[in-house]
Amino acid sequence: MKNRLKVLRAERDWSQAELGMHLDVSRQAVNAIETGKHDPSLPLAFRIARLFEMPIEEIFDDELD
Amino acid sequence: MPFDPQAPSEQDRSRTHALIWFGAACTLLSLVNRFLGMDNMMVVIAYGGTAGGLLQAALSRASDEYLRGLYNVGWRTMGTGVALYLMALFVFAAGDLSRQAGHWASSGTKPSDSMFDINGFLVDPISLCVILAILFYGGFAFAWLRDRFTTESSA
Repeated sequence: MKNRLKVLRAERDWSQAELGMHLDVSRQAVNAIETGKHDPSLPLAFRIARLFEMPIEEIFDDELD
Repeated sequence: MPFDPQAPSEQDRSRTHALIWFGAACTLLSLVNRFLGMDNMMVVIAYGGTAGGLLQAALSRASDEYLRGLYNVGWRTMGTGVALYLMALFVFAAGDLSRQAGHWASSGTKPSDSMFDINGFLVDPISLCVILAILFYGGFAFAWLRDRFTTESSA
């Protein structure tokens, strides 16, 4: 599943570790989500959406697969 | 979400990724020890690291969902190994039973020999544990490598 996490993180000038700290996951997990290696669970997707104050479907796009 | 003072930090979670690879390296050392023998200090580290990695995978709160996904592949690989081993035992034992039943049906006596010696098929407990640990870490490493080769990279 494609996502805009890397762009959103860059806009805030956060490192992967800093984003991981906000989301209660590791830097490796953030990297895995950004590169499409891992699709986040629904609770994590909601945490991401709340953190960036955006709807989930504006961050994740399953139609680009 | 309520504040949890014991909640693992991002550093704790990242450390678990490194520790699981340490466990994998220790498992390889354990395997080498089974064939070649090693210094006692190395044996202690090898078995300790192997056990620690598996305990971390099973119990640690610091593992995030991505790491747990990799663990799951490892657990499934280990479970498949156990199932195949037991299936092989079943097939050999069932074959032996069929042969004995055939012998009894044709001659009315039980054969004195056995085609399949179950004791010869069993490995010693320490080697079995090391093999199971290798299956877990092998599955974990396979999942990790599959991700590396099937997706784009990111800084």
